[in-house]
Amino acid sequence: MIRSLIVLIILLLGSSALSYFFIGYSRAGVQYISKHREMRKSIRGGSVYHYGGYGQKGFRGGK
Amino acid sequence: MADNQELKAIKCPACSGDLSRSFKAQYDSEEEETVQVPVAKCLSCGKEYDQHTQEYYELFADTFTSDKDSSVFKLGLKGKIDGVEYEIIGRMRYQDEEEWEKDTWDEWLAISAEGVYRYFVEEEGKVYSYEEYVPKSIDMAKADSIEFEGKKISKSSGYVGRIVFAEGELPWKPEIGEPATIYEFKKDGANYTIEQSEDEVSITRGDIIPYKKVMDAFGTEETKKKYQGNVSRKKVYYLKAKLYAAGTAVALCLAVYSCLSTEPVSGVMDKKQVLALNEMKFEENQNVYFSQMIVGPFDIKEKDCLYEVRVGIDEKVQKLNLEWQTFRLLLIDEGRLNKFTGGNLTRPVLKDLFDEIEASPEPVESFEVTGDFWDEEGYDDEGHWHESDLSGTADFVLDTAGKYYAYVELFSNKPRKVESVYVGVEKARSYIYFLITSALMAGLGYFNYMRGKSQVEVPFDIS
Repeated sequence: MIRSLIVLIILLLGSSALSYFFIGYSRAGVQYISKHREMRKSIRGGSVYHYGGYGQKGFRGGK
Repeated sequence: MADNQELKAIKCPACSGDLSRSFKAQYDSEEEETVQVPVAKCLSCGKEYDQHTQEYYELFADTFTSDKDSSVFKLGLKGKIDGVEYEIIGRMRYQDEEEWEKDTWDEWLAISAEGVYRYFVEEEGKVYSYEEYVPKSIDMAKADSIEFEGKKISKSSGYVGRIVFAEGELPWKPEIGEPATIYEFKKDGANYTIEQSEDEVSITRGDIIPYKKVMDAFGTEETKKKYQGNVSRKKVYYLKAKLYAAGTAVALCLAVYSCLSTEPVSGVMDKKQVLALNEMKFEENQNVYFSQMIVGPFDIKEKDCLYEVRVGIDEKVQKLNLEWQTFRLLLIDEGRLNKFTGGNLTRPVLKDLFDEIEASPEPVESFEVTGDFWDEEGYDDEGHWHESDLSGTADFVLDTAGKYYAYVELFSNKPRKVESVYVGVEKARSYIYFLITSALMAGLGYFNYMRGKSQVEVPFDIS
């Protein structure tokens, strides 16, 4: 019984912590900029950074 | 009596040959397949005797009695129920004739100090207490029904039980395989049983009695202890199930609260500048229409919060009709936009910036979202279908508060009004982990509930 109570508390606290710290969500702002800056640095000279725009994501009408 | 029966050689009534255990193929409508069922077969003439014959039970009686000692009752035991002391003096075990697998129940005959007989019927861990009953009126002569004190009982509701074991003192001398047709029914809240055999009819009235009462009266110290253990285990399982149910409710409430407590960022679409409108481009071997717009600035007041950005089609402005449109949204900090444009946010400067954005080594935007809208129809084996997807969303955690712009780039296979596309931003809360937790706890609760349900209180193996 105590084990079940502990599991229950862990689950509730765990989900609260994951929600509070936004675990698994995309980061926008400073983190995004520095990450993408590094990505662009690794692209060889003469090419351009390719955004995920038309033609990359795939859309049902275009398949 | 049963022991004497076992010693007798069981002969075929047709040719007096020896009977042996065999199997025959029979279609099982529940299993929907042909199964092998046991039969008694004559070694001389080959005649088969199935579970509707006395010979079958004479030959197979021991297969129905392997667990005959798994009972709280024993011959000679004395115990008090509701203040009346009973002594167990006899027992008959019946097998349901319709089943070829074991499906038995025991009828224990007890006698009180005052000489009153009582039957304790024990089946699958439940005990029913019956006493003999003399009805005011009964008519069993009709072919299809029994008239019992004005109540009509259909004879088709009866089933046949075959005696497979007997011991002790009984009102008559039962034979192995002897059939009795049993009718069970309720009348005025009481349970009645009519047992009709070849020579006599026995009528009893009674009800289920709590197993605890039976244990208190006839249980040994060992069985009582085991019973208490089983009861406690069952209670613990149910308690755990309740605990997880409460946890599920809490997690669901948190999920619903988080899901509903969103705050829209105001003024996102208040200022809009169209940079390009349906410019034709040749990409991926086809002509596409390209549009650009920038909305904002709008104020995102809180940092380190979860936000949801939604891009969608407003069909009041223009319907999306059997076509597609893709979008790319860039969320841009006002300070960075000023840095890249030198504070000049006029259309030509902005257009130059965004047309060349892919060549920029430094990201302009703070976040990027891509997606597509589509509207399609067709035919499949269920007929005509028409489906569409008119919006796309993305969640992100923003670490810097301030003023932001949303730049939107659109490609479509037909010319489209750029006004039909809207952008919305709202502050949100994470709810997915609460949903996952509630599902997990619901599963654990259900598991414990089922464990509790299947936990037998009876301190014996029952089958």
